[in-house]
Amino acid sequence: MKILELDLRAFGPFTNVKLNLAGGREGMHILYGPNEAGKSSALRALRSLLYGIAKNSSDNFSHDNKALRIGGRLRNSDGAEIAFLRRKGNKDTLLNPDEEPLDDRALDRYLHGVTEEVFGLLFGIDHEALGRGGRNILAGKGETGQSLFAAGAGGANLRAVLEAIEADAEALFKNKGQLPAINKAISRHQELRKKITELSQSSREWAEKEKDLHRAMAERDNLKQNLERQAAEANRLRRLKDIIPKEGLRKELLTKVEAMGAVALLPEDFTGTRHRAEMRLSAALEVKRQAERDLGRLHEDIAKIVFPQKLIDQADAVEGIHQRLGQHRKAAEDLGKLQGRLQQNKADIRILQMELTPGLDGETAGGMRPKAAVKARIQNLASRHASLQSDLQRAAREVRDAEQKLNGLKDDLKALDTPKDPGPLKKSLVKLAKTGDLTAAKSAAEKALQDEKRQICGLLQRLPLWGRTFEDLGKAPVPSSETVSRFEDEFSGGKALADNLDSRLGEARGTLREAQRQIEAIRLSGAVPTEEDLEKARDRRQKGWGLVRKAWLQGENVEGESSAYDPERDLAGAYEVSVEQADETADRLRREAARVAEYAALLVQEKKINEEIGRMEADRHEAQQSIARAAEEWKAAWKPSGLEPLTPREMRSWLDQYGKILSRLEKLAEQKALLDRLEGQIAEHREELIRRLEDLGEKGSTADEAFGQLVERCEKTLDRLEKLARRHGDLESKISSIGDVFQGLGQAKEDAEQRRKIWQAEWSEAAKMLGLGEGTTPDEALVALSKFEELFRKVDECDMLEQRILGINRDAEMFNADVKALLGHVAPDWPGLTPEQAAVQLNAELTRSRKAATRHAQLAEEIERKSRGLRDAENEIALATDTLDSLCRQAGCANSDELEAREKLSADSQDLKRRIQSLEADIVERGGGAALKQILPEVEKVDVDALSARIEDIENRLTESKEHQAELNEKVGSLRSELGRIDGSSAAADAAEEAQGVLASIRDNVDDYVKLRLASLVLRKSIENYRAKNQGPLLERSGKLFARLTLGSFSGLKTEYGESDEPVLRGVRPDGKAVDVTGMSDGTLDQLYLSLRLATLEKYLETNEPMPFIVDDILIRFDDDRARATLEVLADLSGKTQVLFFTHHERLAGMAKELKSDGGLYVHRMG
Amino acid sequence: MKFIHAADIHLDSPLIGLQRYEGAPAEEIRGATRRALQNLVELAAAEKVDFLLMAGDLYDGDWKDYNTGLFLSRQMSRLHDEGIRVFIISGNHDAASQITKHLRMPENVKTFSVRNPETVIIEKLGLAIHGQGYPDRAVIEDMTGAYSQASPHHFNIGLLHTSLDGREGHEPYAPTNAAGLLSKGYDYWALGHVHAREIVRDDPWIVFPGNIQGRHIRETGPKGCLLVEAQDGRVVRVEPRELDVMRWAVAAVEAGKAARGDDVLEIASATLIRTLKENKDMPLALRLEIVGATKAHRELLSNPERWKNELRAVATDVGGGTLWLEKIRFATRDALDAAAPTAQSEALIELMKSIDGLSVDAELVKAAVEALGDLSGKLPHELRGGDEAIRLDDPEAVKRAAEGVRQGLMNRILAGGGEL
Repeated sequence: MKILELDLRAFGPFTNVKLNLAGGREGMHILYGPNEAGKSSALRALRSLLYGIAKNSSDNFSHDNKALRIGGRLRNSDGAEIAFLRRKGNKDTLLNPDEEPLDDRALDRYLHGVTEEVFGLLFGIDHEALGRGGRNILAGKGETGQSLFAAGAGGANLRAVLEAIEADAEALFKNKGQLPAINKAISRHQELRKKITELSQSSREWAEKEKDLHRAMAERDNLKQNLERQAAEANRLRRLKDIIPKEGLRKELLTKVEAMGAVALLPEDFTGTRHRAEMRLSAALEVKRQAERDLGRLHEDIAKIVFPQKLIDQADAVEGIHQRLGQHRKAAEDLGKLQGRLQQNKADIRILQMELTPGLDGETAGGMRPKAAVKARIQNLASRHASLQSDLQRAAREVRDAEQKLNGLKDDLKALDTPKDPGPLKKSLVKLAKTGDLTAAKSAAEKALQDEKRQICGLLQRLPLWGRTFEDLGKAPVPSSETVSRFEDEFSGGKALADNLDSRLGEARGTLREAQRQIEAIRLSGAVPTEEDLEKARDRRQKGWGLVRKAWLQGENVEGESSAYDPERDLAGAYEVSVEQADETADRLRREAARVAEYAALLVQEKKINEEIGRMEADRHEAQQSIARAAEEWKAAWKPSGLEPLTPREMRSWLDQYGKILSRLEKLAEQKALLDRLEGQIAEHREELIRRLEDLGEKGSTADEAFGQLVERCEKTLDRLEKLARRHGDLESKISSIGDVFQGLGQAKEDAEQRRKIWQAEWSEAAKMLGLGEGTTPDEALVALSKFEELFRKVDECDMLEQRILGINRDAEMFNADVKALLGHVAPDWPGLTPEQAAVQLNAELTRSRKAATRHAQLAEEIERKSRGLRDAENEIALATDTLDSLCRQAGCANSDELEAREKLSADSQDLKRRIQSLEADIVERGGGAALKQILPEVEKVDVDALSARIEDIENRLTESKEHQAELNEKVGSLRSELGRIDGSSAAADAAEEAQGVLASIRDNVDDYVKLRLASLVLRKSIENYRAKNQGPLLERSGKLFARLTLGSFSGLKTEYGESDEPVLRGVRPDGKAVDVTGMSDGTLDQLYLSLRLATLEKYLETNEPMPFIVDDILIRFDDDRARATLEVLADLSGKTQVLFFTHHERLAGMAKELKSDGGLYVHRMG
Repeated sequence: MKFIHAADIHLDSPLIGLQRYEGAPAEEIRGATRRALQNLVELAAAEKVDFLLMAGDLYDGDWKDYNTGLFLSRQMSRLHDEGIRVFIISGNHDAASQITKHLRMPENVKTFSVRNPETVIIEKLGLAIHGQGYPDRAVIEDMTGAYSQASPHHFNIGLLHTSLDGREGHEPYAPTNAAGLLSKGYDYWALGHVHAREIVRDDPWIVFPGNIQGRHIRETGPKGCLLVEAQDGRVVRVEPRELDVMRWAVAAVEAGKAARGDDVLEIASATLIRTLKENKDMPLALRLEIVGATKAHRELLSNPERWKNELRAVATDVGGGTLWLEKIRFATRDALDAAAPTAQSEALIELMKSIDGLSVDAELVKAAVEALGDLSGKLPHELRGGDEAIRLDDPEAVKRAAEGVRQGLMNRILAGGGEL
C-alpha cells in the first residue's frame, strides 16, 4: 500500500493542507517542518487516517472534535485506489469524499491485516524507540535471540517483559516465601482448618459427658432423700426435748385446779361493771344534794326584782323622742342667727334702693327689676362703643398720611428734567455691536498683511536663479511640470542607454580578451590544424596527383609544372610529401578533434564578439547625440522665463518652490481686500453715530477723536438718557397709585362716622329703658346694671330666710305636743317638767328598767336548768342501784359488799385454766402440730437422759451429707455448662465457609500463576526458535546495513558465545576483530539496532504487502556522514516500500535533496 | 392431608468457590444451609402441615461438629411444638456422619431403621409410610426389594435415598428404576440424593425435591422443597416452594455491541439488573460470562484484573449488597479476528505459533509441570483431589491453562514496543 495523498483538512494546527506523497514508484518523502510547524500533528494524522482518531486526541484545539477531518488517498499494490475521509467518533468514522459513511472494512484490503499495533511496531520508528532499542541491546549484553526478537517485534524490551512476568509470578507464589498471595492464602487456609477442628465438637465426647451428668444427677437425688429423713428425725427429738418440761408444769397446775373445787365463774368484766355502778351511785347522790341547795338560793333572788312594764312597752316612742331632742335643741339655736341675717338684708335693700331711685321703699323695688333683653342690649352696645370710637380715629389719621405722601411725590416729579428719546442712538449702537469689534479686526488684518508680505520676501530671497523683485512674481512664464518630467525621462533614458552600452561594451571586451587569451594559449601549445589546412593539403595532393597522372599515364612532360609544384623535390617526392601532409593534417584533425573544435569555437566566438562590439559602439554614439539634442531643447523651454535652467530634477524642485510662493501671493491679495472692507465699515458707522449725538443735542465729534472713544461716549450718553426716562416713569406710576388709595380712605372715614350715629340712637333708647338719663355713658350704665343685680339678689335671700324661720317654729310645737302625749301615757304622775327635761328623764328611766328585766330573765333560766339537773340525778341513782342488785344476784350473794371476795375466787380459777391451755398449745406447736393425745404417750416413752446425745449424733451426720450434696451440685453444674456450651453454634461452619473463600482465591491465583509460568517459558522458547531460524540471513543482512551505517567502521555482525555460554551479537571491525556491544558508543548502538530493524523489515517485505515506513527524526544523534549514509539506506529501502521521513532539521532536508534515489526522493516543507 | 417433602439438607455445608473481595456480601452467605432449614421449618409451621419427610443427607458426611446436629435437633423440637411429625431416612452422607450416631431427636421425629425397611401406619391420617436408611456410605444394591407392598386402604408413601437409574454428578447409590418403584403400588415416592428438582413421573408420583440450598455454581436456580396435598388417598397438589437464602446463577453478558471496555460495563450492569429481577432480588452468587465477538475483546484481555474489579464494583453498585460475583469468565472473541487475519512480524508470529502450539509441545509442558512442582506440593488437599482439584502435575490441565496465555503475553510485549 502506498499513501498517495495526505489531506490535513481539519486536524491539529492544519486547515486544508495537502501533502502529495504520490511521487516516485514507492518513493521516499522527507516531511520537513521546523518546531511548531505541526510535524507531530501530521504524524498523528497519518496514523489516525488509517486507524481512526484517538478518543482522547488533543488535536482539537483549532477545530472542534466534530469538525476534525483527515483525508487520504491510498493505492494498493494491485493498483486499486481509494480516496476517503476520516472523522472523529465512535462509529462511521470512515467517509467517502462526499462525507457519506463508508463501510468500516473499506480499508481492510489496503491494510492487509496490519493492525494499528502492528503498524506502530513494524512500520514506525522514532528517535526514542531507536535509543531504547539500542539501550535494550546493551542491557541484554547483546544476547542474540533477544536482540533479534526485539527488533523483530518492534523494539519490545524482552528482558523487562521477562522480568515483569517473573516479578508478577513471585508476587503470587514463592517456594520459600510467606508474603506472596498464594503462600499467604495457603497459610490462612491451614489456620482456618485448625480453627475448624478446635471449634468442632465431637459427638462421642458429648454423649459421654451427658452420661456423666445423668449419673451425678441420680446420685444427688438419692442423697437428698437421705438428708431429708435424717433432718426429720433430728427435728422430732429436738421437739421432744422441748416438750418434756412443759408437760411437768401442766400436770402441777391441773392438781391446783382440782383443789379449788366448784367455783362460780364470773364474767371477765364483772368487777369493772361493779366498780362503775358504785361510782355512778355516789356521784348521783352528790349532784342531787348540790342542786337542791342552789334552787333555794335562786328563788330568793328572783323575788327581789321589780320594774315598770309600761315604760318598756313604749321603749320605741321614748327612744324616738330622745333622738328628736337633739334636733329640737339645734333648731332653737339656728333660729336666732337666721333672724339676724334677715334684718341685715332688709337694711341693705333699703340702701340700694336709695342709691338707684331715691324715695322708693323696699316693697316697690320688685317692679324695677330690669328685663334680661334690656340688660343684654346695654352690654352689647357698651362693648361696641369702644371699637367704633377707635375706627373713627384711625380713618382720620390715614387720610391725613396719604395726603402728605402724595404731595411729596408731586414735588419730586416737578424737579426732574424732561426726558429725550434715546431710541435712534441705541439702534445705531446695536447695529455696530453686531459687526463685532471692528477696530481689533482692522489691526489684526493689518498685522497679518505685513507678516505675509515679509514671509514671501523671505522665500523669494531663498529662491535660486530668481534675482528679481517681489512685484515681478507671476509675470515670468515658466515651463509646466509635465514638460520637466518629459525632459527628465529623456535625459535619464539616454543616460541609462549609454550606461548600459558602456557596461556591455566592458563585458564584451572582457569576453573578447578571454577568448583571445584562450586562442593564444591553444596556439602556443602547438599549431592547430584547421579544416582549411586540410582542404589546402588535399588540394595540393590532388594537384600533385594530377601532375603524376599526366606524366605517368599520358606520358606528358610536366617538368615545369612539377618544379612550380615543388621546386625542391621531384614530382614523385613532392607528391609523396603532399600525400603525407594531407594525411598528417587529417590525422591531426581527428586526433586533436577537441582542441580543434575548441579552437574553432573560440575563433567563431572572437569574431562574434568583435561584431557585437562594433554594433554597440555605434549605438552608444547615437545615444550621446540624442542626449545633446535634448539639452538644447531644455534650454529653449526656459528661455521665455529668462532663466538659465539647471538639470530637470533641480528645476522640478525649483518649480515646486516657485509654485508655493505664487500660491501665497494669492493669499496676500485676499488679506488686503479684507483690510479695505474693514476700514470702509468703520467710516460709515462713525458718521452715523455723530449724526445721532447731534440730534440729541450733544456735542459733535472732532477728527482727532478715535472711533473707539466716540463709541464709548455714545454708550455713556445712551445710559444716562435711559436712566432719566426710567426715573420719570417710576414717579408717575407711584403718584397715580397713591391717588387711588387716598380716595378709598376718605370713603372709609365716612362709613365710620355713619356707624357711630346709628349706635348713638340705639344707646339713647336703651338707657331710657333702664331709667337712665340720655347722657349716661356706657360705663355708668354698666355700673347701674350691676347695682340692680345686687339689689335683687338680696331681695331673693330675704324670702328664703323667712321661709326657714317659719319651718323651725312649726317643728318645735310638734315636739312639745309629742312629749306631752307620751308622758300622759307612761308617767302621768310626773310633776311639771319641761318637755326637754321630760324627754331626758324618760330616756334614763327606760335604760334602768331594761337592765332589771334582763336580770330577771337570767334567774328564771337558771332555776329551770337546776331543776332539770335534780331530776337527772334522781334517775341515775335508781339505775345504779338496779345494776348492783343484779350483780348480787349473779354472784349469788345478798349484799353488794360481798361481791369483791367472790370476784377474787373466780379470777384465780380462771388464771390456772388459762395457763394449762397455754402449755398445751405450746406442746402441740412444738410437737409439729400432732394432737396432744399422740404426743403425750411419746413423751412418756422417751429416755430423757439419752436424748441430747442422740440429737448431736444425727446432726453430725447431716453436716457430712450436706457437704457431699454441694460437691454433687457443683459437678452437675459444670457438666451442664459444658454441655450448654455446645449450643448448636455455627462458629465451625462459619470458619469452613471462610476456608472455602480462601480456597477460591487460591484457585484464582494459581490459574494466574500457571499462566505466568507458561508465558515465561513460551516466550523464552519463541526467542530461541526465532534466533535459530533467522540468525543466519538476518545477521548477514543486518551486518551489511550496519557496515553502511557506520561508514565502514564495522564490516559486519556475527554471533559468538558469551560469558554465560549464550549466543551474543558482536560487531566485526574491518580487520576482523570482534567488538562486544558493551564497547560500542550510543550512536553505534542506535545504528546496530536500526540495522536489525531494517533487515527485519526487508525480510517482512519479501513475503508481505508493502506498507509505508514512518521514520520520525531518528538521525538526531548521527553525525552528518552517518546521517547521509542512513538517508541513503532509507532511500534504497524506498525502492521496496514508501518511506515517510519526518524531521525538524533543515540540515537533513538539505542533505536529502542531494541524494539520488531510484524510487524517487521528495522533500515537503510544512509550515 | 398436607405434608412437605424435602431432602439433601447438607446442614452446615459451606458454599464453595466464593472468593472474598472488597464489596462482596460476605454476611449473605453466612450459615446459608441453616437459614434454608429454618425456612423449611417455618414453612411447615405456617402451612400447618401434618408431617415432614426428609429423604436423606441431612449432614455432610465428613463434617464432625456436633453443633450441627444440635441445631437440627432444635429445629425438630420447634416442629414438635407445632405438633408436626417428621420422618427421616439417612442418606449416604448421614451414614458416614459421626453426628448421627449420638444425636437424640425429639419424639416427634421418626428415623427409619437402617437394617430393614419399616412401615409406619398413622390411622388418623389413613397413612402408611415405608422407608429404610443407609446402613453405610455406599449402598449399591436396590433397597426397594425388601419394602413391603402398599397397604390397602392407606395412602402409601415410600421414602428412599437413591440415584434411581443414574443421575449425572451423583454417586449411583441404591439404584432402582421407576418400574420397580411403581410395582410397590405406593401413591407417592419421596426420593432424595439428586440435588436438582425432578418430577420423574406423576400419579403415582416419583419425585426428587432437590436440595434446599445450592452450594456451588453447578447447583443453580431456585432450591427448596415440595408442598404436597392429598385428599381421599390421592395427591391433588404438588407445589414447589423455595427455601434457599442465596441463589446460584450464571449470566452471560453479550458484549457483541460493545466498542470499548466501558460499554461492556454498561451491558453488564443491565444484565445484572435483569438477573436480579429474574431472581426476585434475592442474594445471588453469580458467575458472569462475558461473551460475543466484540471490539472490546483486546481491551478486556489486556488487563483482565482491572476489568474484573470494575465488574465487581458494578455488581456491588447494582446489587446493593446482594450480588456476589463467583467468577468472571472472559470468553469474548475479537470482532476483527473473524473478518480478517492480521499480519504480524515474524517474531510475533513465531511467538503466537509457540503459544498456539503449547498444548502439543510436550517438552514445554513438561518444563511447566516441573516449574509448578513446588506449588503443587503445597496446595491444600481440597485443591488436590475431588471435583474442584487443581492438577498442576497433569499436563492436560496445564495445557488448558495455556489458553489464557496468548493475549496477556502479547500485551506485555506490545506495551514495550515501538510507538508513533
